[in-house]
Amino acid sequence: MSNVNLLGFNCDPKETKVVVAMSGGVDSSVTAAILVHAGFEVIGITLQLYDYGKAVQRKGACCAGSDISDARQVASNLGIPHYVLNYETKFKEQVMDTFADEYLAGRTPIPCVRCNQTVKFTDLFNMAKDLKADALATGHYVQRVMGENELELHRGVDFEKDQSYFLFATTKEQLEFLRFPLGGMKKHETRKIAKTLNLKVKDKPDSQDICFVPNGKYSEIVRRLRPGSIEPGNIVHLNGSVVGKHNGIIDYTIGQRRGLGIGGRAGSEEERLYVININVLKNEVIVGPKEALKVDEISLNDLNWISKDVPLDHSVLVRLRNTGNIIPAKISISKDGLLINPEEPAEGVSPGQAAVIYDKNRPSKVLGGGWIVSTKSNLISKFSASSAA
Amino acid sequence: MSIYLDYNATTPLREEAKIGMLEVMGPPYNSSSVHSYGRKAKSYLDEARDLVATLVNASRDQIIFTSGGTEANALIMHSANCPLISSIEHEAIIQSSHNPTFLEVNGNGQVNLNQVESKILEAKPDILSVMWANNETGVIQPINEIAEIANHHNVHIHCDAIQAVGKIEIDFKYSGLDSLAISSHKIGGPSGVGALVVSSPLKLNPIIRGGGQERGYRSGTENVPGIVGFGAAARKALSELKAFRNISKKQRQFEKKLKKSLSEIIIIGESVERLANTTCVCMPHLSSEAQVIALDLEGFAVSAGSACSSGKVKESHVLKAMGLDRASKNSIRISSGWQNSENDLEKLAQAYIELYKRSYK
Repeated sequence: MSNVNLLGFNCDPKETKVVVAMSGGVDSSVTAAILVHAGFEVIGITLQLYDYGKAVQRKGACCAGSDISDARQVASNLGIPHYVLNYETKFKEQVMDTFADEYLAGRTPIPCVRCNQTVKFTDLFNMAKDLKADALATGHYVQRVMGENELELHRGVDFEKDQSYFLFATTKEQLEFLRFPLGGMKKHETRKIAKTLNLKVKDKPDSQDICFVPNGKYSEIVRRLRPGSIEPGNIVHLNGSVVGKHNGIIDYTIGQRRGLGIGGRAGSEEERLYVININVLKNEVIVGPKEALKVDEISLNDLNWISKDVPLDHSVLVRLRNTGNIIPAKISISKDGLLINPEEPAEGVSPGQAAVIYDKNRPSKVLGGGWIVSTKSNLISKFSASSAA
Repeated sequence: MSIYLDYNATTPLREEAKIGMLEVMGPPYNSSSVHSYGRKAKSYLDEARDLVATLVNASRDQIIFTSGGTEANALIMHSANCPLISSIEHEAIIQSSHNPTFLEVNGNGQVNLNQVESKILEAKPDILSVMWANNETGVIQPINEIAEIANHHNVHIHCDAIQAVGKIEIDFKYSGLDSLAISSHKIGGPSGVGALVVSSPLKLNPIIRGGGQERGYRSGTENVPGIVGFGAAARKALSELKAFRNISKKQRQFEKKLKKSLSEIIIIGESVERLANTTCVCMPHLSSEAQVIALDLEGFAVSAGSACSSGKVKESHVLKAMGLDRASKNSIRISSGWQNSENDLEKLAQAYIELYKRSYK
C-alpha cells in the first residue's frame, strides 16, 4: 500500500537523489552500495580533511586521506559519480585547532563530534543541498525514527557499534535531511554485505582512533599545533604534597593511572594514584586515590535537544564518555545550562567530553546532550581535609 | 555523455592524429636503428618534427621532443640558478624553479612591463619565464615586449606556450624568445608528448641521459606514435587557427548572457586580450568545487582552477596573484573547442544561471 521508499520519500527510489559521505571504509561503502542497489540516484563524496602526507599514514582511521582512492574505487565499481571535497582549511580551523586548545585548557576533547557538527553536517550538508540532493546519508550506526510526535534519533541496533554519543549535537534540521541506512544493522551484517557484493574494502579493519592522531599519540599533535605553549609543572596530591613533575598538562586525562611517572607508590589499590583533576591556572596535575574520581554532579553547557519531550527535573539515562555505560541520573536546569546528578557517583568524567542524555522509558532514544564543563565530588573534601589535618 | 567544455585541461584526440598513430602503432619502430624499420621510424619523426616546427614557425632542428609540456618546462627551468618567473606561471614552472623571484601581475593578470626591467636589474636572473597565455584565465601576456626587454639585458627568456599554441598564432622566429614549451594533448594530439623549442646555440643540461636521442637533450627511445600524433594534430591546428578565433564570438556571447542575467558575477580579465575559447567566471557565493560538481551532475564538464591528482580542488594561485582572493575560491573555467556544437554554451549558460539562483541564499 505504502509508496514510501527506503529513505522515507514518497516516490520511486530513482527519483530520490542522495549524497553519501564516503570515507573509504567498510561502513560508508556499504551504505552507498545498499542505496545504489535499492535504485537511488547516489552521489559519493569524500572529504579531504588534512594533509595525510604530514600525518603518519596508517590503516584504519576514519577519515585518512589515503582512503580517498578506496572510496573512489568503490564508487567507480558501483557506477556512481564521486567527488573529493577539500576541507583541509575548515578542518584545521574548526576541528584540529579546537582539539589542541581544549587540551591546553585542561579538557579532553572529542574532535569527532566537532567534525560532525562542522565539516560534515554543516559544510557537506550545504553542499548536498546545493547539489539538489534530497538527503545526505552516512554510515553511522544510529537510527532515525519517525516517532508519534516527532523525528527521533536512536542508538544503533548494534549496541557495540552505536555512534549516538558522537551525534548528540545533531540539530532537528540536520536530522530531517540525514539518513543512516546502517542503523538497523549489526556490524557483522555490514561486513557480510561487503563480502557478498565483493566490495574492495570488505576486509578493511574498523577505524579505532581519531583520524588525524596517528597511533593515538594525541599529545604529539598538540605539541606540533601549539609549539611553545606547553610548560612542565608539578604533579600534586590532593593532600597538597608535590609528588612529581610533568612535561605538560596535555599529557594527562582525568582517570589516567598509567604513565604518571610517580615511583614508589605501586602498592595496594588504595595507594595507587589517578589523575583527579587538571589545574590549568597553576599548571598542575592533581592526583589522588581511585575513590576521588567519583563525581556527584556534572555541569553542562552548549546543550542540544533533539527531542522536545525532555523530562526536565526528571529521571533520564546518561552516557558520560563514548566507552562508558549508560547510567541513570537526574537532570535539572542550571544558570549556565544543565546539571546532571547520577544516581550513583560516576567515575572518569572529564570536562571537554560530552554528556549524552537518553530517554529512561525508551533507552535507545537520544534526547540530547551537552558539553561537560565541570564536575563536583562530595568525597573530594575528605581527601583534601585529611591533608589539612 | 556530458558536454565537454574543458579544452584547456585536455582535448579530444583529432581524427587525423588517431589515423596517423594507428599507422605507426605496431611495427618495431626505433629511429636509432640502422635497418629499414629504423629508417622508416626516422622519417616519421622527421615529418612530425617539421609539422610541429611549422605550427610555431621554428625550424625542425629547434624541436626537442619530450614526454609532455611539464618535462619541456622542467628541462629549461631545472638548469636555472636564479630564475625570475611571473606569479601566475603553471605549477610545472613554479615547482621546477629553484629559489625563484616572482614578477607580479596586475588585476587583469598581465605582467607589469615597467616592472620587468627593474626586477631584472634587481634579481639578476639567468632565466626569465613568462607564460604566453594563462591556463585559468586565458589572459594573454605582452610576450614580445617582455622578450625584447629580456634580450636587451641578455637574459634567457623562456615561454610556456602550452595554452597559447593552436589557439593563437605563435611565431617563435620573430618572438625574441629563447625557448618555448608546447604540449600535444592541448591541441588534439595524444597525451604523453610535448616539445621544447629552443633557439640555438643553447647550453642545456639534460635531465634524462642515455642513448643521446633528441641531440642528447632528451635520451630515451622516441615515442613514435605519440610524436606522429602530435605532428598530425599540429598540422590540423594550424589549418584551423582562423576557425578557432571564431569560437570567440560564441564565448563572448555566453559571457554577455551571464552578465546580463546575474549582476554579481565577475568575468576575470575581461578588459584585456584573452584566448578566444576561455572564460574564467566567479560566482561569489558558491565554492568552485560546488559549482564544478553541480554542473557535472547536470552534464557539463568544466573545471576549477587547478585540481590536484587526488581530485581535490585547490584555491587558484593565479587569481590570488591577481589580488582576487575571493574569486580564487569561487571561480570556474569554461574552455570550449572544435567539437562543441552551436548551442553547447547556451545550454551551459542556462544551467549556470539556474545554479546561481538556486544556491543564492
